[in-house]
Amino acid sequence: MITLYDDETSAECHQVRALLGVLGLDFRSVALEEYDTDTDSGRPALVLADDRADPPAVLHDASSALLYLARIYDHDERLLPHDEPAKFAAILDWLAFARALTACAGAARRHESFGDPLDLLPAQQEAHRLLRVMDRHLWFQEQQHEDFLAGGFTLADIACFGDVALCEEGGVSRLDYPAVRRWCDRVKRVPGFPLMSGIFPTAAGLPS
Amino acid sequence: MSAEELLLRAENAWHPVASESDLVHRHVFHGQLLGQELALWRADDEHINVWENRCLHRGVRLSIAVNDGRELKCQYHGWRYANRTAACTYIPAHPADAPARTIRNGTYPVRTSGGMVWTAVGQPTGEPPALGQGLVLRPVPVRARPADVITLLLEQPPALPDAQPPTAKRRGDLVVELESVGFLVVQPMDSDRAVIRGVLSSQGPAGERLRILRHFDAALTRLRDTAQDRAADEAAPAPLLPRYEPVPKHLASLPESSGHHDLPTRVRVVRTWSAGAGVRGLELGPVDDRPLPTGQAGAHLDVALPGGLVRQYSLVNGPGETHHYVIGVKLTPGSAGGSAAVHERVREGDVLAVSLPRNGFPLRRDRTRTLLIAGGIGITPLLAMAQTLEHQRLSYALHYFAAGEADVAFRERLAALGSVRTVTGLDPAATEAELERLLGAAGEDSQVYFCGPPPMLDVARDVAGRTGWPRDSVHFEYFRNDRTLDHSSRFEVVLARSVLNLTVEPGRSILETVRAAGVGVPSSCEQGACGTCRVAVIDGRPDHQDVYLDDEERAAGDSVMTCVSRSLTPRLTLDL
Repeated sequence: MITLYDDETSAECHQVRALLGVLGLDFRSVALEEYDTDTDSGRPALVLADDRADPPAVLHDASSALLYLARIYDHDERLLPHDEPAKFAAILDWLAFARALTACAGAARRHESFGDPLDLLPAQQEAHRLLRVMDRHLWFQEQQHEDFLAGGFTLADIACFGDVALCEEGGVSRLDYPAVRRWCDRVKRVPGFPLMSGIFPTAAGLPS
Repeated sequence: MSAEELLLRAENAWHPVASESDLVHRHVFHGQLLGQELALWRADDEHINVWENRCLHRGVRLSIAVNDGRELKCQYHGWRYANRTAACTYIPAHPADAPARTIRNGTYPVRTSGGMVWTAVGQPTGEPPALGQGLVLRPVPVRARPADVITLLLEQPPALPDAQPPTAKRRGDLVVELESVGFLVVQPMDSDRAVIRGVLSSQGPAGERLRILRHFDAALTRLRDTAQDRAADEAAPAPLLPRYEPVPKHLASLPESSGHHDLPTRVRVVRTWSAGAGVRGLELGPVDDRPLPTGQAGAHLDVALPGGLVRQYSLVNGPGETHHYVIGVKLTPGSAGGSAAVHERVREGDVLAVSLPRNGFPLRRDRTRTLLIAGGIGITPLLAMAQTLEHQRLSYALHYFAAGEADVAFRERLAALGSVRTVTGLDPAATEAELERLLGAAGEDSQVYFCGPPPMLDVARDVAGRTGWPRDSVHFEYFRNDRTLDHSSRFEVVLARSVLNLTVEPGRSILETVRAAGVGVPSSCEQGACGTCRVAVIDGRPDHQDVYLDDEERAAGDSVMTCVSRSLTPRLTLDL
C-alpha cells in the first residue's frame, strides 16, 4: 500500500495526490502531523511511503515523489517519457520551475491564508514574473495546437498546477494570464485529476 | 488631451477586451475594462457573452463559474444564468420556485473586429473600427497609463522582421495604424493598466506565422518594459471605481413558497402554566422523534387554534432550546377570540398544527450594543433575543414596560438574565419621557428593538426620530395593526410572472384576489403587521395600510403587504 502523509491545504501534497489520481493508484492518506520526525530534520512538506517495495521506499519531497511514482508506476511512460530526450529535459526544467513557483506563489498563499512569515511583495512580484513566462509559453503552445506545458499531459503540468491554481489566495491575480487560465481548465479535465479546497470544478470539455 | 479626459471619453467607446480565440469551448475568460471586471464566455451556439463579473446572489466572480455551454453556473450556491440574456434560470435553494424574470445579471454589448471581441461600459456611438481579418498578436498587459502607452507606440512603432519601422498614425483615441503592417489597439483596463492588442493585415507565409508572432511578442514586451520604466517614475493614478449597481434586496431572494396558512408541523401541548397576570405559557413539543424546525430569536409561529382561528405568537425560546417551542399568550378581552381559545380551550396533551418558524424581526449581531424595549406581552420576542445576546456575551439591556408587578411575565427566564430592568406603572406621558431618556443616552453603534402595543410603538417611532437614531438601527415588531383600513378602492393588479391581470374589488384584498386566481402567496397575520405576504412591486404606486414597512420603504414603493395594502394607481404590477 502507498501511504501519503498529507496536508489537504498544501499545493505540494496536491501534486502527489494529482499524480496518484491520474495513475489511478490506491493510497492511504494520513495527516502529516501523524508522521514522526526527529527535531533536527523538521517536518517535511509531505511524506510518501510505498511498502509495495521491499524494503519500503520513503520520500520527503514533492518533486522526488513525482519522479519516483512516474518511474515506478507510469508503465507506458506518458508522464515522463525517457526515450524523448528533449521532452524529458523540458519536463525536468518544469519541475524546477514548479519549485520556484512554490517558493513565491505558494509562499505568498501560505502567508496570506495561514500566516506563514514572508516578505510578501517581492514574492508576489516573482510569482507574476513566472506567470508571465508560463502564459507566453502556453499561448505559443496553443498556437501549435498543444494543450500542455511539454506537449501532451506530463509531470510538468502536475508539478506546476497547484501553486498556479491557488495563487489568487496569495493575492496574485491571474487576470493578465488568459492562456494560463485556459490551461488550468484543461488540466482539471484530465481523467483522475483531483480538485481540492480552492480549486473549483470546470465544465466538461468537448466530447472527443 | 489629458490622460483623465481620455479615460472619460473611453467610457462611451468600443474597446477590445479579448481575442476571439481566447474564448475557447466551455471556458470563462476573465477580462477588465475601465475598472470594470468582466466575465466573457462563448456558448455552444457560438454566441459571445460579455457580463458583469459577479453572481447577483453573493457577488462571487463568474469568471470562476462553470460554463456548461448554455448557462453559467456560479461556484458558490449554483445560481444559473442563461446565454444571451443573463437571466437567472435556477436557484438551487428554491428548487420549487421560478426565479423572477427581473433577476438578470448585467450584460455589455458585443462586437467582433480584427479577431478581437469588443465591448463598452457606457453608451458607445457607432461601431468598432474595421481592422480586417489578419494575424492576431499575443496581447501584452502593461502596468502604465493607457494614454502613455499610446504615446509610446506612436513614438516607437514596432516593425516587421528585417524591416524599417513603419509610419504610425493615430486612428481614434486608442488605436494606432502601422502603415501597411496592421493595427495596434490599447485596451484601457484601468487608469494605470492597459493591454496592447494587435492584428497584422496579412497572415504572412504559412511557415513564417510563428516567427512573426514571436517577433512581435518580443517587440511588444520591450515596449511594455519601457512603458513600465517610465511609469515607475510617476505616482500611479487612483484606480477607477467599478460601477456596480446594488442588487435590490427583493431580487436577491425569493419569497417562501407556501399555500394559505401552511401549517406543516404537529406539536403536542406539553405544559401550560400561568406565566404572569393574564398570560398563559405554552410549551409545545414534537409528536414523534423528529426534532422541530428551528426558529431564530425574533421568529414567530402561526398556530391553528380550536375554533378554526390561526394566530401568530413569537417564540420565547433561548439559543439551543430546540426540543420545544415556548410561547406566551395574553388574554385580550374583546379580541376576535384567539387569546380566549388559548386560555380556555387548549389543554395539555392537545395536538396543534403550527407553521414553520418565520422571522420578520431578525436579530442583528453586528452592533456594539443592543437595546431591547418591550411593552406588555411584546416581551416574548425580546426575551428570545435577550437570551441569545446573553449567551453570546454581547452587550445588551432589556427594558420591560409592564402595567404592574403582577403583569411581569416569564419571571424565571428574566431572572436568569444579567441585564433586565422592569418598569411598571407608567402612564403614557411618563412612558414617553422614559423612552426619551433611554434612547437619548444610547452610545455609538447601538441598535434598538421594540415590541409592544401599537400606541407605544408609534410613540417610540417618534422618539427614535427625534433623538436622531439612524433608520437601520431601529427595529419594530407590531403584534397587531390598529390603523383604520380603507378597502373601498377598485384597481387592477398585473402579475408579471404569472401573466395574469386581475381586478381587486372593493372589500377584497390583493391577497384574496390573487389566491382566488390560483396564485399562492404566503401569509400569516393578514392584518399588515408581520411582513409575511410582502410582494415586490414592479410598477404602480402602492397605497400602504400596513404597520410593517418603515417610512423609507413606503416611500420607495417597491414592495407591498398584499393582505391590507391597495393601489394608488389604477394598475399595480407585482412580481408574482
